[in-house]
Amino acid sequence: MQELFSVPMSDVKKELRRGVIECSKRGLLHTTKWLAEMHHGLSDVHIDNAPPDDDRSFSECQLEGIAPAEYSAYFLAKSYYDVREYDRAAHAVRNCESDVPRFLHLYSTYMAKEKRRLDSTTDQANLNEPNQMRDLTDLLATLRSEYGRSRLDGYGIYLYGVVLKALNLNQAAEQMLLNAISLVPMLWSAYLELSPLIMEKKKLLSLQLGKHWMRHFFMAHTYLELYLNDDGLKIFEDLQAAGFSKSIYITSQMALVYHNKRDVDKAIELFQALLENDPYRLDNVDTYSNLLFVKEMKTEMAQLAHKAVSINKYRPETCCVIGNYYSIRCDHQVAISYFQRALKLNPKYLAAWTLMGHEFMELKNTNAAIQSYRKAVEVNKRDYRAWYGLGQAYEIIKMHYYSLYYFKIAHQLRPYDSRMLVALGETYEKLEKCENAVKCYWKACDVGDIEGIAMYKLASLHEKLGDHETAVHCYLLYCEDERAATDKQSLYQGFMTLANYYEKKGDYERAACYAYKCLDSDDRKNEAKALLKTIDWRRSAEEKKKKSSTTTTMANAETSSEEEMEWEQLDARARGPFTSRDDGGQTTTTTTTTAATATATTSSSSSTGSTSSRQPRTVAEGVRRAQSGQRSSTAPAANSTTTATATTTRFTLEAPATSSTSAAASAAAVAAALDETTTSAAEVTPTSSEQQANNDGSSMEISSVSID
Amino acid sequence: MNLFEELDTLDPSSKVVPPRIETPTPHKIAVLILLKQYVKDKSNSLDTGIAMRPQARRMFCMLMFKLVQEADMPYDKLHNLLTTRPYKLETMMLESFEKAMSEFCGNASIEALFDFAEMQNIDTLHHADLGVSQFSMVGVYVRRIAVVLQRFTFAEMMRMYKNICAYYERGIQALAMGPRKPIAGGILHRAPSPLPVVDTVEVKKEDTDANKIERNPLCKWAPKQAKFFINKQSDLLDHDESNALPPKELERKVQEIIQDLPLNTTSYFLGYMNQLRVRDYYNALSALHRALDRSPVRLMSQEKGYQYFCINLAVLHATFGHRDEALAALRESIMLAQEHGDKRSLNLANTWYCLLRDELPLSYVQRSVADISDADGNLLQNYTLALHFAVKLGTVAGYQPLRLFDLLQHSDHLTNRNNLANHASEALALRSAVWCAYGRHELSALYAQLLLSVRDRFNSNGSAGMGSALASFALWLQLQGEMRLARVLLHRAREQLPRMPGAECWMISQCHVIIQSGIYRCRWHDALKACDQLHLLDPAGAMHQRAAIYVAKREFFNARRLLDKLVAKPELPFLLRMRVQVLLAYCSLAEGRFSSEAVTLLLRVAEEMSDSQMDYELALVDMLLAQVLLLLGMPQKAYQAIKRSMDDIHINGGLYERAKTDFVFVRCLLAIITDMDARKAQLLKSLDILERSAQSFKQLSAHAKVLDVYVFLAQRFNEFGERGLRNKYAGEFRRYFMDHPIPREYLGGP
Repeated sequence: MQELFSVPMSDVKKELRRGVIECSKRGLLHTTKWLAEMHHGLSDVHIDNAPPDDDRSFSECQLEGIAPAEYSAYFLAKSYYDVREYDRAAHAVRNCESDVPRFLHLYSTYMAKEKRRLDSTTDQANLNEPNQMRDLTDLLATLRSEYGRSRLDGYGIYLYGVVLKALNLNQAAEQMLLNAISLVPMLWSAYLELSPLIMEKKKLLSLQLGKHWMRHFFMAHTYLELYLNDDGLKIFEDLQAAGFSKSIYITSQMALVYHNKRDVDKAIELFQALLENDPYRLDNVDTYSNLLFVKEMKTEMAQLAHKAVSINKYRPETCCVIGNYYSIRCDHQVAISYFQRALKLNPKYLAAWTLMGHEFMELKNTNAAIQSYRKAVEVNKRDYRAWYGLGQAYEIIKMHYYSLYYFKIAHQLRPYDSRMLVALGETYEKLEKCENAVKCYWKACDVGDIEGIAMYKLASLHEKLGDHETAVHCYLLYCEDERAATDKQSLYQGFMTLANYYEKKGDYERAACYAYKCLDSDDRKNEAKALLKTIDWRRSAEEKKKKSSTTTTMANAETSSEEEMEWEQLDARARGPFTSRDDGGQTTTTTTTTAATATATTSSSSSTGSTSSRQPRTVAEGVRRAQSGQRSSTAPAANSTTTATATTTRFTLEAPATSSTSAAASAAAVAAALDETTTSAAEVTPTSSEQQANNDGSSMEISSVSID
Repeated sequence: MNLFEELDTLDPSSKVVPPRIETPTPHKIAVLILLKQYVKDKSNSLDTGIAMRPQARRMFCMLMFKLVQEADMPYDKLHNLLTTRPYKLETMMLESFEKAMSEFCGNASIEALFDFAEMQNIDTLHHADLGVSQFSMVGVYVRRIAVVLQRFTFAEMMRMYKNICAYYERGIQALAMGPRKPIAGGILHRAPSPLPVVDTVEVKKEDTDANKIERNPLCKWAPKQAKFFINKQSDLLDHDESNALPPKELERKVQEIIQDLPLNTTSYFLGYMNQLRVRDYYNALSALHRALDRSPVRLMSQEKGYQYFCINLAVLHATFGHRDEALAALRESIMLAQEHGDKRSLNLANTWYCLLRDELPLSYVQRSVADISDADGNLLQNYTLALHFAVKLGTVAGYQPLRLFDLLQHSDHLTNRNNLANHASEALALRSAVWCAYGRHELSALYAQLLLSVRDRFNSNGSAGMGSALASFALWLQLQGEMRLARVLLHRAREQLPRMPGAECWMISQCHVIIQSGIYRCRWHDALKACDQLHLLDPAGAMHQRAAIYVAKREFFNARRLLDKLVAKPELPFLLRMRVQVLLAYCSLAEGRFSSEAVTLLLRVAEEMSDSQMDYELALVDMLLAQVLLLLGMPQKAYQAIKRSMDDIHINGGLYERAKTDFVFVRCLLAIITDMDARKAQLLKSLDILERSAQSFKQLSAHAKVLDVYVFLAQRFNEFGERGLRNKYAGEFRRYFMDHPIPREYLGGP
């Protein structure tokens, strides 16, 4: 920190004070305001009675640079200037020779022209532009000759730079502004004018800004403009640590940084603090309302809008806040009209174009959205949101190949933003360029996935490509962090896939673990249950096999285990329907027979298992297991939800009938939800066990039955 | 304000947007002042009875049209226009105009403008007998300005007046700075003797150069002017690029238009076309996206037009040769078109798709052509293009010419009925190409000349067909030994088609010209360099030519290597495949070894040639066959073969082939006669033929061949004991050899 900022704070405060006096003398209102704000922010530093300069008092400073003979002319001009009669002010000091009145003359001339331009912007016929240029050219000529005779001080050079910039002579303007900065380092407006002329970091670093501490503010400001948030943030943090912690300006800039970095909570926190400190401040409230929008804090937005309107309803920021509010209320038409109003109030208010584009997207007016975004891009080609919006708009009309161009540009502007990468990846996926898509998703994961979706996309893409090993790997990574995943559905999809995978691999422990996780999901529950049953069934089948191959006496000793019991029940159960089918003929699927089998099931189960109280449940479980086995055999990808719903609907028809039977059964501590499946399982039992017998050769008993 | 206009179009609440007032510019006021002088003059002439010259009146009307249609110009440019041909004003009128302008901006204050804008004043312009008709183009122009001026507020009037003054003053200053004339009080005193025309042209050029640097803020583009400019320039870009504005200037104009009229969508597209013509991929891509994003809102509210976006993108990629990208874009376009049921764009996309994949369902095209209605001009064009493309593919694949000409007939039918001049010229070029492929070079040249002679009528100075006609005709001239004419034609082609897609034809032609003359003169290095160039444009052709060079250079190993490589390629055009076989045969012939390879190759080729009715190529094969047979000692058969081929070669062949045929023919003639005296007599009889052949070789500067002929003659005469004649030809040989020394190993080739 020390190397960044080594000036004692008392000196800084003195300098600020001096700057305030100098700028207000010259009518540089915005700089005065900024400096005064900074000065106010240093309220902890006590230099109360110290004069702004070492050898002059306040009053001396205030009159410095004005020849005593010109006092009257200067005071007259300054008062005209303060009431915005610029031409009059310029006239009053036209013949003055000392520095300050002369600057005031030039500056009020400039302001007069500027005011005339602004006044006529709303005119229908735009006749003024050429004259405006002409006026400025006149002023430029005056300034140039003054500069040539080196009669311009730092402030004059600043004005020269401003005029050059207005005439699009950017290179000369840059030079002049740098000159002005080196002469008057406290002139914040000069920094502000210089900032948009710098297009890249390299150039910023190569600027000769001198050694004054003000350069840090400029650097940070420009970093922000270039979206180099981390660089900017670092400087601001350092400045805060150096003693500017109370500065409103720095706090608001930091809030902007956090906004750009998508650190929504932190940014909101800062804005709230700002509003508390300075309740009537309207700068950047549009950003604040954007943040609130992202967080869907509707009430706060309403309050903010209310407040903004009561302060000043003709500020573009206010319009933007109201527009955002209407937007979150889904009143997009009105929102658009407010954004338009913001643009009319300030044609350079760029964000409104992009926001308008978003609204048009909501209204499904794709073309208007495209136009708005395009306009935003034309005004500021670094606006990645608008590029991204363009891509999205074309994506909506299914022009994936076409939208690629826009996503690419958005990605170029924000190379470390996972949203762009995911969008690119999705587009590539649609275009069946899976290699590129994979690369995009991986990069999105690498740069820190904001929406937590890239890994899932990657996994499902691999699954689609048939690369199950990699898919599982990705799902594992994805499911590792359950809480980070925002989209629960995809999370369950991941669990399900993993469960199925491990089930196939024979790793029943893990399969069951993942399947249990799925039980929380409403959609996936049935599927998960079915899988669990299969797992159970297989597991016991394996054990049975092991057991039968070794010794039967061992098995008797272990009948106390629940699984064993179930398995035995299943055997009995499996045999039951088959015998009944032998009697009742071939039809098994009609409802009547199903009902018959259902009753048969209960009767048989009660007859066989009257000894144990939990017997019905175990029967049911066994059947369910069998059913899931059937399902997995018919549809190898056991996760198709359609089959699951089919079974449930079929079951609901019989729900009242079965509930009575299961009422006794539910003495066991199984969730009530399981009952549903019990009956549905009962219904399909015959076919299922038969198929299973066909499929699963490991279960010796059943296969022998089917042969009978 | 432009911004407001843009906002209005995007406003969802307002349904109909009233058009914004189009503000008159100082230029327009100046034009009206000029018109007023004319009306005054006219009434004066009626009073005095001195009639104005009809020529002057006509030119003034033309001038008015030009001023109304074209972009605003600064006062000095306007003044220059008025003082130079062809729109030169009469002295009296010019002076009165200058006076009116100076008075307008000088003595009187803003009142001048108010007086001018008064209805009475405008009505004099619309006077029934003297002025312009209210309903004419100029009349509407006048009325519109008058109406706008009437509606101005005072402040606006004031600004308008200030603008006019600035416009005038600036113009006067520029005129004063110009090298031409001193100006006093705004009235021009011209020197008594008019300056030579060349000088004034130069002055004009200088002026425009000066004005190019900075845009005059007082000139603005009105929608009509912009439309005229854009249409004109895009038409020129399409058909006659060399006459369009140079790329940089065009870009600047486009930027001006975009700035003045951001809602005019065509200007963006013109910008894109301009980028495309300089083949700037990245800028073209961004310009295209910009142009398409900016397409009119209300037109496209139903999301129906987006498939065209993809087609445009595909065309862009196709232009730069990104085939896969283009195909991807087309697939998307086809999908969208199907979804929206847009048959037209579907057709367009399909056509492009076929074009890019080099495949064409011919039957489909023919069927569509049959049931096409005349109403849909766009589709019609599409089918015409498809037909042409089919002809091209057919030619490359070696179809029977009858079928191809049948297709061309279809195309003629369509184009003639619908007056599609462009396609008609293309059909002509295609015909020339097809004839050329089937060896009727005479007819081919005829068609090319026909096309060149009617190019003005077809307005096709820069079209692709013209390029190919120029190129093939140049090559034909070269083969006929008219090197100078060929060079002139190629030069013209280069001027007409300076950039790549159009330039391809003449570039290929030029490479071939260099290669051929390189081979003739044994300048291998030049020829090989040209081959390198050709390789970028036509890889297979370049390899074939390189092999031909190696054969001529007697590096048979290299030649064979290349030819084998070519043979292994699956997708060679038919003609080239045949030629490769011929060259292989030639290779083994030139090696001088007896082999059945050459004969079998030649016989097989001959069979295929006759199948596809390529008579000329067949004749060339026959000639080669004759040489082989001669070598094998079967003079009778050789004689038959050469006789069979001579007709065709003499009608259609180039100079070299003709001379060579003659030479071979004489050798065959001599070979079939066994009797010594008869041979001698025959030789003397055919001396003329050989002399002619040597002359032809000389014309082509095929030095080795000339020497071969002399050697042959000297040796034969030596055999017959004719010392005088032998010495004569030996002397000829020596003299020629001194002038054109050729390494010995290149002599005596077949």
